Amino acid sequence: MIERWLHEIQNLPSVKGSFIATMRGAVMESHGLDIGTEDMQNIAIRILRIHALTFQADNPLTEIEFFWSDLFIVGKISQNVLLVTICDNPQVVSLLRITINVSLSHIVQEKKIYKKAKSHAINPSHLLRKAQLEADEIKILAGK
Amino acid sequence: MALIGNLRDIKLPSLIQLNCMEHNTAKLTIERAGRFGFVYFENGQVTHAEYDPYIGEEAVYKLLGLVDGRFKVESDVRPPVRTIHTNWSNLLLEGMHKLDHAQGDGENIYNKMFERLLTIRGVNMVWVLDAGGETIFSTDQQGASQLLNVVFIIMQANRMAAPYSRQPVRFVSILTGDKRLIITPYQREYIVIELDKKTKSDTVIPLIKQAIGKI
Repeated sequence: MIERWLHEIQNLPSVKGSFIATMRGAVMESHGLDIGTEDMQNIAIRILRIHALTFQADNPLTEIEFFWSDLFIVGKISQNVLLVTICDNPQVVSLLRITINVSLSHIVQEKKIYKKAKSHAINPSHLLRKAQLEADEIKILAGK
Repeated sequence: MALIGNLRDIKLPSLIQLNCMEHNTAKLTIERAGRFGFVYFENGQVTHAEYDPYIGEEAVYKLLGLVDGRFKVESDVRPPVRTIHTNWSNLLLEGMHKLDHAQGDGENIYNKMFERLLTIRGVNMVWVLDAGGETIFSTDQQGASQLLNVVFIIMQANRMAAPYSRQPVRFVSILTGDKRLIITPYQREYIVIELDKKTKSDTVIPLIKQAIGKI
């Protein structure tokens, strides 16, 4: 069933694929992407670090979009599940958002996903601990 | 009865000219993005002005740079203090002269950019941060401390794209419970734009690009 919802997203124009991760960045499922789990985890962790910043500011993000000249990434968080969608460019974004919302609302209801996501639920600030970051990242965080 | 309008329709030099030629005693209040400026007229002369943190002639010169902002003229309001002794026409001439010279400086560039960004529907506030993430210009003097660590966010974005793109990220749009933030690197600085939550990033980003690119 999860595969089906990720497939729905991939059917949209310019979408390369998508994956879902826990709030610790562990990849639970992916579809259509030609990158390894490690790369997916790297993307998830970096999105979750930004989420942690907004969480610390008492205004946690629910959605984040990144625009490059040749890449578009959307991250959506709901009920301890992060859904990341990777696209060549932002085409039919309205339709993409609706599909992501519908898919994620179904995905979080999947028992397998729900259980693992719940077991991985952590205080988001954990991802900003010094041990998790590179030296230049620690410096930038400390400077603010 | 107060005269109310917007500087987009009547420019400040025209307002000053009008009040001085009519020998008015009045208070002119200008509000733009939560920041207030005041110009006082007494018997047809500009006698006092404030535009935080400027007072006197310098405040008038700064206010002359505004191309947008709501204004209100209240008759028969006297100035609390006299800080300007220059004749109004000389004051205007000097102000316009300074404005011409300021065309190339940073503050003027950002003022013009702010004017364009603030005309985009849904845009509430704009900040310009230096390479270290410190606010150097903003449309609102408060709230800068509430900003997220933008440098860290852009760093994370650039480091996640590696498998697919070597380009630097162009825009990051963050939707939280009550607002949307758009962050974009600009030369060696960062521009942060706060929008209404309902404003969609894909519709507003082309307008932002246009507003920033016009500098």
